[in-house]
Amino acid sequence: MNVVIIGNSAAGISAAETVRRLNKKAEITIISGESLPPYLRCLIYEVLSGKKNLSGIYYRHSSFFYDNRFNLINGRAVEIKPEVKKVFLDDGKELSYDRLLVCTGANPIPLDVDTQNIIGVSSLHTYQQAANAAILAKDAKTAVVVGGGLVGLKAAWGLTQRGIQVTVVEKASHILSRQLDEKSSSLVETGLTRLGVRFIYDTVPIQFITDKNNRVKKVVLENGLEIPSDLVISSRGVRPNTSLVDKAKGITAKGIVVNEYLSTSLPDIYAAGDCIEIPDALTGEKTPSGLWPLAVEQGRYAAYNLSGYKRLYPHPITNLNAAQISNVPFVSVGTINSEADHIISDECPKSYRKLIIKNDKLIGFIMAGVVENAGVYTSLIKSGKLISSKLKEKLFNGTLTGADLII
Amino acid sequence: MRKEVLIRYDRCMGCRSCELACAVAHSESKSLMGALTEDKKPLKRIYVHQVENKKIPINCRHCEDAPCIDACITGAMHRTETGAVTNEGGLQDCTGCWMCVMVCPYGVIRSIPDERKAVKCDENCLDEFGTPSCVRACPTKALTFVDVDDFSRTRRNEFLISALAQQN
Repeated sequence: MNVVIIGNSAAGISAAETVRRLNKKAEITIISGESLPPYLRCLIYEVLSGKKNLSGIYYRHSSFFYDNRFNLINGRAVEIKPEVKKVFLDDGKELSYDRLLVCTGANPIPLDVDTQNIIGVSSLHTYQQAANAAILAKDAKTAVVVGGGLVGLKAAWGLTQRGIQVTVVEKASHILSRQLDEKSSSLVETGLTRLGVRFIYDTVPIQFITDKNNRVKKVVLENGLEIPSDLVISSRGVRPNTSLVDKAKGITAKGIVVNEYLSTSLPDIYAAGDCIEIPDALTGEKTPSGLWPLAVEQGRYAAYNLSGYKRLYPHPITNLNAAQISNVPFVSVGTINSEADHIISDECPKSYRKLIIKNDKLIGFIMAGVVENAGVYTSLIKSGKLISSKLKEKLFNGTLTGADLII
Repeated sequence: MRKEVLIRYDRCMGCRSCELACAVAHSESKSLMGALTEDKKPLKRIYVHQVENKKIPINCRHCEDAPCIDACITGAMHRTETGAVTNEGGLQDCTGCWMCVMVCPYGVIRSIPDERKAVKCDENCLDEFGTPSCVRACPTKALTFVDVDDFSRTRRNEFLISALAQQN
C-alpha cells in the first residue's frame, strides 16, 4: 500500500507512525511545506522570546524519518487529482497514492489592513515567522499584539521577557474570550499587567504608520489611539486550510468535511487535524478542529481507517485548552458560554473555578489559578454521566477526585 | 512482559504507606529522615482517596494510547522502552502547560505552577527485584505488581468466583 500524507505536524506525524505500526511494508511518503523537522508549533512563542531555537522545539529525533522508512518530500502540494489518484507539487513533481491523508492545518486570519510592504508586521504561525520576528524584536522597544487569544498572549509574554513594552489590542471586551469568562480572564490579565503589558479592548487597528525604510513605527486604532510600535504580531486566530480539497471539488465548509471515519467526500482521501471541521461532542455544532491533542488522535484514527481497520472517531470536545501565561495556570473545557441550569462559581483572590451543569450533566468548566484534578472534570464531561447528589456535593465543594469516577 | 500495579480496593485500609514510600523514593536522600529535612519537599505520585467508606488508592495506569502523551504540546510526555509514561527524560523538557493535567481521567498528574512542571508516576523507584516503592510498602497487599496478562486473568477469575458465589 502506498500512503501519501500532506503535512508534517501533529496529525501527519501521528498518522505516519500509526500506519507504520500497522503495516511494516507500506510505502509512506510525507510532504512537508516547511523544510524543517517536525516541531512543536505551540512553542514557537519561545522562539520569539529568544529562549529557544529550533533544537528546543523538535519533537522527533533527526533519524526519525530514516528509522521509520518514511519518504520525506520538501515541497508544497498544489493539486490533487482523485480520478487518477495523484498529488501534484509546486516543483512539477507528481506522486501516486493508494490512500491520501490531507493534514494541511490552518492559516492565520490576515489583518484587515494591507501590510504587504510593511516591515515588522508578522503572524506567529510558522517557526520561520517566529525566527524572523525574533530578529526584529532585538532592536524593538515597543510592540503591539493584535488579538488576545492564546497565541497573542503567549507572544505578548515572550516579548515582555525581552524588555519590550507590549500593548495587546483586543476586539472583544476581554482576553481569551473563546476559553475564559470575564473573571478568569481578568486573573490572566492581572498577571500580565504586573509584568508591564498594557491592554486595549473593543477596538482594532486601522492603519500602520511606517518610517522611510517601511518599518512599522505606530499603530492607529479605530478608537483614535496611536500606539508606538516597532513590531506588530498579528494573532487573530486561524482558518482551516481547505484549498486542496476545494480545488479537487471535495466537500468543505468551515473546514474539510469528513465522515465518522475521517474520510473526505473524495474517494480514498482522508483528512485530519486543524484543516477539518468536526461536530462538537457537546453541542453537535460543526467546529474547526484546531487543537493539538485532537490532531494527534485524529491522525491515529485516520491511519487505522485508511489502513483498512475501521475505527469510528467519536465526536470530540472542541474546547479543550490549558496554558500558563505569566504566573496564572488555567484550563477551559467544554461549553463555557451557554444557557445552563446551574453555574457554580468560586472566587478567591488568586484562583477561580466555574462549573456549568445542564440537565444534570457537567458540560463545561473553567479553572484558573489552580488546575489540580482538571482531568477528572474533563472525564466527567466526556462520560456524559448524570451527576448524583453525592457527586454534586463534591463538585460544589471542589473535592472531586479520580476515585469518585471509578467506583 | 510489562508489569503493572494491580489494586485490590477491598484490601486497602487507607494507611497511606504507599504515599509516603512514593515521596521518599522521589526524594534526594531516598530515606524518610533525610526526606523530612530536605528543602524541597519530595512529592508523592500515588493518592489514597476516600469515597463513602471505601479507601481508593489511585495511580497512573500508563495507559495504552495515553491521552497525556497525545495532549503534550511540549514533547516531554513519552513512553519509555519499558512502557512507562513519563515527562522526565524525553526529547524536550516539560514547560508546565498543563495539557496533561487537563486530560488525565484519573487526576494523577499534579501541577506545580511555580516550577512550571507536571509531576507524575515515572516508575523511577523500582528496587533490585523491579518492584515499585508503593507496592513494596503496602502492608495488606492491596497493591501488587503483576504481569499485564496475569492481571487480567486474575481479575477475570475473581469476577467469576464472586459471580458464582452470588448464584449459589
